[in-house]
Amino acid sequence: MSAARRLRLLLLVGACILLAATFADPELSLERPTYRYVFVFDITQSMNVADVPTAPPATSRLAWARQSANQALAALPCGTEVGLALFSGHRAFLLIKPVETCANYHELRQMIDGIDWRMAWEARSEVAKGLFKSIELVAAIGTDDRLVFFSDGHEAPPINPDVPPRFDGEPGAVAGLVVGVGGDALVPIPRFDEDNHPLGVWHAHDVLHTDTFTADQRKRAGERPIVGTEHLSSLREAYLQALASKTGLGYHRLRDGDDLLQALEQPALAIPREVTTDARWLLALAALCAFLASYLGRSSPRRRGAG
Amino acid sequence: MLDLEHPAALLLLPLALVPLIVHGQSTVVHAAVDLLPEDGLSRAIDAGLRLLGALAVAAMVLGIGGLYRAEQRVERIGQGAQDVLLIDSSGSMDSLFAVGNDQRGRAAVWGTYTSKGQVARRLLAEYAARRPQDTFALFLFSGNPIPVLPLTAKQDLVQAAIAAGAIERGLASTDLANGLIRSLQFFEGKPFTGSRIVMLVSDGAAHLTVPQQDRIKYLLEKYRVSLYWLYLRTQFSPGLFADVDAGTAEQVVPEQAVHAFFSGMGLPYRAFSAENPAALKEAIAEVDALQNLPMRYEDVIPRRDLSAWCYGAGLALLLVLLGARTCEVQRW
Repeated sequence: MSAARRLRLLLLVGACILLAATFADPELSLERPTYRYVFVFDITQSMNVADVPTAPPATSRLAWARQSANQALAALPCGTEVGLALFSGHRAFLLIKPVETCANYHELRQMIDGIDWRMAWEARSEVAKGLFKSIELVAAIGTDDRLVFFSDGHEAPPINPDVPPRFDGEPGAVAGLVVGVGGDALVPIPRFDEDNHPLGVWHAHDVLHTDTFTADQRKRAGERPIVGTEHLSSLREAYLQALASKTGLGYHRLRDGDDLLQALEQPALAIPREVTTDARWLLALAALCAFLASYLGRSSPRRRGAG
Repeated sequence: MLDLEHPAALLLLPLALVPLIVHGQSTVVHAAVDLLPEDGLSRAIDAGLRLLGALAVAAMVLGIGGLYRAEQRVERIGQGAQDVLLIDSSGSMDSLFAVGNDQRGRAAVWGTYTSKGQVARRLLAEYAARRPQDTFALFLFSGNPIPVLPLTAKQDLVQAAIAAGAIERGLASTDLANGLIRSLQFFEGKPFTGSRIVMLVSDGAAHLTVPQQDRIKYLLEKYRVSLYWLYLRTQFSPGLFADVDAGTAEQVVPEQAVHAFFSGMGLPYRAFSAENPAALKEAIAEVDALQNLPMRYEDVIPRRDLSAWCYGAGLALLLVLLGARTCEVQRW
């Protein structure tokens, strides 16, 4: 048997063996970044203000947060998991544990679209406590999720500067982002009735302008309550940034969904995970090469009588 | 229907031309090839072998590309129901469940005991898992109704939503009437495609006003909904079915009045007590027996990987070619 012929047969046999080996289902394990978030939406009334500079006019802070979240949701890689929670009063409430975004995209989108200020269970908006409780909540889920906290940072009633809420957790134990939503200028906060009909705006005499303790003290001392600008709202960026650095979270100012997506996909928020992938294609590719090689080479012996 | 996981693999497909162009056989020298007669059979075998080679390449390329049959949605007629799970998430659901919390006082530290809410969610999770054909929507109610999940048949989604509320404490107050009304309004404008169930999970610590009662009754009738109540008794409470005089009941077990109203509506209604281990089975059996209207539902035939078939076909073709090559003439 000629060497060329032997080589061809060997290549063909090799291709057969390689293809047969695909039936053993070989797998490769790779480390890949995966993402798992709990989106917490501030649904307090200041989020009804329509002042996000990058949003279309008449889009409220909450609506813009929802839209941007949905836009990011559509673009996050399959295998990403997202859970949803609401913030109102002084705590977060989990609606759904993180679920895979591609298989459940339609439902998640509908759920995000349905988030409404009327779901609020309390009229107060204690952002710092809400953020700390959100961190506790995410830790309690216990699957190393990243917190994404959408808020304008508007504390109502205001915090007593002498006794700010204390963060007892370990900074950075839960990673994530505080996402600031809103504009820089103070604007009135709209009021709505239960059916979402507009009822004008909140006025200075409707709201507390100091913390409840100071307000009480002044009342007992017979002094008139302080009137400030608490009935107006803007994005309290410096405050949210301070809260974020205190708790070891990142801060991101919401512009749009694309921007949010980039912030969400930053390496600091990725969770490296061993992913086993199908490696059959590598064997099949080798088989294909071997098979094709068996066709190549000199097809006729040069020397007469060889073979 | 058929699709490739990695369509870029199709770039390899032109390689299928190689076996068509090159015969790949060992040749032997013949003194006067032109003198040999045309042989039709030889030509046919040659063409056949080239074709097999091309097919083998194509099969391998499709396998490498990850050929699959896409997920299909098929509408089927089956027996199932549309379930709206209406879960009480008020603070009262955080209190101790009647069973399994022995030796504990009324005020306990969260996480060290079994709350009514946690029991409720466990039972609901089991209920949903046992009715895989049903579609589920989920509502919470506390001070305000909170619609959580739109109607879906995806069990993992339903389970994730049910499990979510058991992690932290419940919210503040209870507004059973509003929650119930809101969950019934959910059926507004939806096609009647099968039995409709509202599965209320609550300790029932609520009062219903007369206008609220009227509204609830009207909506239950209008949307043809059966109401089931999975009742969770608080530790030391007499419960739904105990004989207590009306005055005491109003003070201690307001849920008895709610139960009396539901029972007196003359509409499909059943209450089950969650502390009875058989209650869940009973509830599932009852729903199985009664909620058997034929239902249109969407079944998902999951995507199926076909690359193994490609590799198998490729292998078979290669073996045929291998056989042919071993038959090659080596000398005249």
